[in-house]
Amino acid sequence: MSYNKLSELCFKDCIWDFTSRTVKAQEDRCALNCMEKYLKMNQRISQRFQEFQIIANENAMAAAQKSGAIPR
Amino acid sequence: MAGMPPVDISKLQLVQELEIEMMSDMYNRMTAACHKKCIPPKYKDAELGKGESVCLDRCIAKYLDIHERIGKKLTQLSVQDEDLMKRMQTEQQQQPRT
Repeated sequence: MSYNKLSELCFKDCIWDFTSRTVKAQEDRCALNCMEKYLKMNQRISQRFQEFQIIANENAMAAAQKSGAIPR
Repeated sequence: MAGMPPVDISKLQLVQELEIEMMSDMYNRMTAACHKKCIPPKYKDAELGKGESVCLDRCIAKYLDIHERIGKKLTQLSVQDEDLMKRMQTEQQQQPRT
């Protein structure tokens, strides 16, 4: 799923030199760093997103309780 | 939830599925947007820098905030629209009689 997106993104950001058909060491390093960084970024984003969801849920529950939709 | 009126379960499921789909679409778009805005395309290091991490946190908070604001505004507008339509309809129905 996101494998294709990851390839596209890191290719676009790292590969600029088309005077040779082999991947340079520098390009290889860049692409691998790009991948690792992207995965770490994804981890952080999902964590923050979950935190937000939990807070939003709590707020919704509190609002529902206040309006009397849910007893107790 | 005992006081809830009986709801069509298949309909509820459809709504839930739609909601999940919308959420994951939003999540993907948010990831792409915040990556573009916070991670410069120079990958000398595989670690997230401190500045990048802070930027991501703020980017996500802001994105979700804007998402909520726009959603509220959109519902507000659609409610206004609906009211207007209803009023116009009732006016049209009343006109031939008078």
